[in-house]
Amino acid sequence: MILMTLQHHWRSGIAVGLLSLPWLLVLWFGLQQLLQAGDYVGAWLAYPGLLTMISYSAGVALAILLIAWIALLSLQPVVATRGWLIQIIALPHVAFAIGLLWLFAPFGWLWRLLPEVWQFSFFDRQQLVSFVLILLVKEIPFLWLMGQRALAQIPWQRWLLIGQSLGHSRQRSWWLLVMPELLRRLRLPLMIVVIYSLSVVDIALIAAPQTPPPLAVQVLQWQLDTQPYAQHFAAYGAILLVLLALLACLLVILVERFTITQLLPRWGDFRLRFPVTSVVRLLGLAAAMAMVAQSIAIGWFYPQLWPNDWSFARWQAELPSLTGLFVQSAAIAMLVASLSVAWVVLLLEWRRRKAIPGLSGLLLIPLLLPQLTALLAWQGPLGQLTGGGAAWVYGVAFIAVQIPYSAAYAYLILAPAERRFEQRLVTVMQSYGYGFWSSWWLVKRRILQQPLLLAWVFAALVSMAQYLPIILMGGGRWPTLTSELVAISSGANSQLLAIFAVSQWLLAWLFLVILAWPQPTIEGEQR
Amino acid sequence: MNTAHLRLTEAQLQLPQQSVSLPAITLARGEIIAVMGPSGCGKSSWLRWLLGDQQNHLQVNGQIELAGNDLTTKPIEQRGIGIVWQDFLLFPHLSVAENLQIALPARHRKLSPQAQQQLIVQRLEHVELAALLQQPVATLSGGQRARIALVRALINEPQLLLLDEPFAALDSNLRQRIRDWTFSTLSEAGTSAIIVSHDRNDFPLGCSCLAWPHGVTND
Repeated sequence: MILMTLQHHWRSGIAVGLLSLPWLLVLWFGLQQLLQAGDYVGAWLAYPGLLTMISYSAGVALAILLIAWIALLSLQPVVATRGWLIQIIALPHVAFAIGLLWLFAPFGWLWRLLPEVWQFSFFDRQQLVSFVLILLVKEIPFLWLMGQRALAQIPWQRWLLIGQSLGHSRQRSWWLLVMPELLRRLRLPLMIVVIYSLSVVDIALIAAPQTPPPLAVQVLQWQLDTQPYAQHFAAYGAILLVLLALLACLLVILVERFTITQLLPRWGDFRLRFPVTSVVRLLGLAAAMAMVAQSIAIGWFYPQLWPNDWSFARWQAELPSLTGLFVQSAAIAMLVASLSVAWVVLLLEWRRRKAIPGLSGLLLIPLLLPQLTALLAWQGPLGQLTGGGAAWVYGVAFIAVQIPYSAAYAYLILAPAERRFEQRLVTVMQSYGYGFWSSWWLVKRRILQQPLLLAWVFAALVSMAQYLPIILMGGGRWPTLTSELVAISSGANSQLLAIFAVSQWLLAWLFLVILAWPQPTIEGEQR
Repeated sequence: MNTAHLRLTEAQLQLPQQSVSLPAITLARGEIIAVMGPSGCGKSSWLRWLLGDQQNHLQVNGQIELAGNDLTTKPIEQRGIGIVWQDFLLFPHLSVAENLQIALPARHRKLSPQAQQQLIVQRLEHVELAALLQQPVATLSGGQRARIALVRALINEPQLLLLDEPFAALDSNLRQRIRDWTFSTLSEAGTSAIIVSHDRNDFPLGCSCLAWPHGVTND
């Protein structure tokens, strides 16, 4: 028996090794290149504003962690809100940031509504507060969606009944029995959100201070700089981002432990009310409206509440270039989503057959490592392959580096549903003479159609919103709506910016429409 | 002349907690053999091995010969072995008719949809279940599910049918009726079967019975 167990683990080890090899090799070579940069440490440490950059990044991550934590603690047991959550998540970060800034920033739409005495700059373009708020409004719905999925996996109603039967109030039972389990299950999504806030570049370029910027933005600028020292500085910065991410993960665990052992047992009937749903929904809707209005407004000068006129003329003028970008962005997102979901499905089936331990961790590595660091590490070996190559070579490289990110989100969506699936249904089909993949297609694909579609849409949305892979891997040959949007965001043409933002949003909506496609109903089954 | 339809050599089952020795088993066409033993002793794992379903926790060193063909290394879809589980496992996204249609043997899948439908109706009429034809399976009662699961397995014309505690999910009144119906249907179809249960009452009268565990050795 021991021999059999060893043999089994040995096989699984080989499988996991083979699976992770390409990843680890590229990361290893890349990180080695980064670490070889050893002569410029002093100069780097003396770089003007370095401490401010680090404190910006750390401060933003800390703020996100604490506010997201409060939002998670206020997660309500009955939430039938999946639809709007997905809509907010689908709203591209960059488009959303542009809409929100136009709404709230000084001289923006809402600003003009306020009496003059209230017009103080609590929210401005390129302020840490704006940056944090935009990240929060975008990331809290993701955490809530993950929270809902976690709730669906535990019998919390029965746990509450047991708690009540033992003499605790319903609220106290919620804090003592359900919330600790929920927080444990949401540890990973929370780490993902905090690490994302540390290394995000596109929103930071639009909404965060730039003199100096947060660390991730500066690392990108160093990487794109042609000075000999700059690449080394980028390397140090990338490694520092990883260290900050590790610290953030540690902090998430500490906050979780403290909450579970010190706070929750003392809260009794205390109810935490944080109007997450209404605030997030309102802001999402307002940002979308602001974008649309701005894109068709003519002569909208301060302090006018409404523009002189509305017109689609600028839309018509931009249509030819916009159509090409739209189609290219959609095609890339669909290709990446299809490859990512296929990859996840293959891995999940492999996991079932071989009972591979640690597969989940492997798939989620991309989300637990600052994207900028991973891309800089990959850029070394991949850059040698693509350097001076044709456009399609760059295309392959930048699609390849997007897949781990889209696949990780697809896995987060698909894995719980797949785990609950009764695999013997596939075995029954095989016993009727169908091959494994025919059986999978006829039975499993149809029963898991909704989570598969959701995973595909999420993967497409993640791909669509990618900025760094285009900049670092695409060699400037594969522009998308996102890269163009970030590029024009530094200019003064707010209408053009709004047109691109609305287009990006429309593309996200097109993907969401797929979810509204009539699904096969399984009567009597809980969907 | 060799009349054995199924021939299993002596086998050793290596389960995580124990190893089980099995005697050689032969089964004539249309014969039913019962395997009885307590829950958790590896009966179901053994059935899944016969079916060809790979299980990481199980190693078996025996050989399977069915209708003269060595099946030991063949995949599930090439074995011609059907199975009915305790929870019946009807496809929840399909109606009764679709559950049966998907199980038609390969040669019938080439027929027109009308001809396939006719076959299914005939089969259901034969067992007096034609009224269920268009019903979604989620609306079926326990007894109806049990019978549709057996009809579905038989419409595929397996060389051997495995029944894994097929009556365990039914209440005692229904259990007797479904049991009688199952064995008469099997007998009429002339299908060889292995039925596994921990309840002696689940077996047809006069069938061979293998008491499990047989020669169990604990690690």
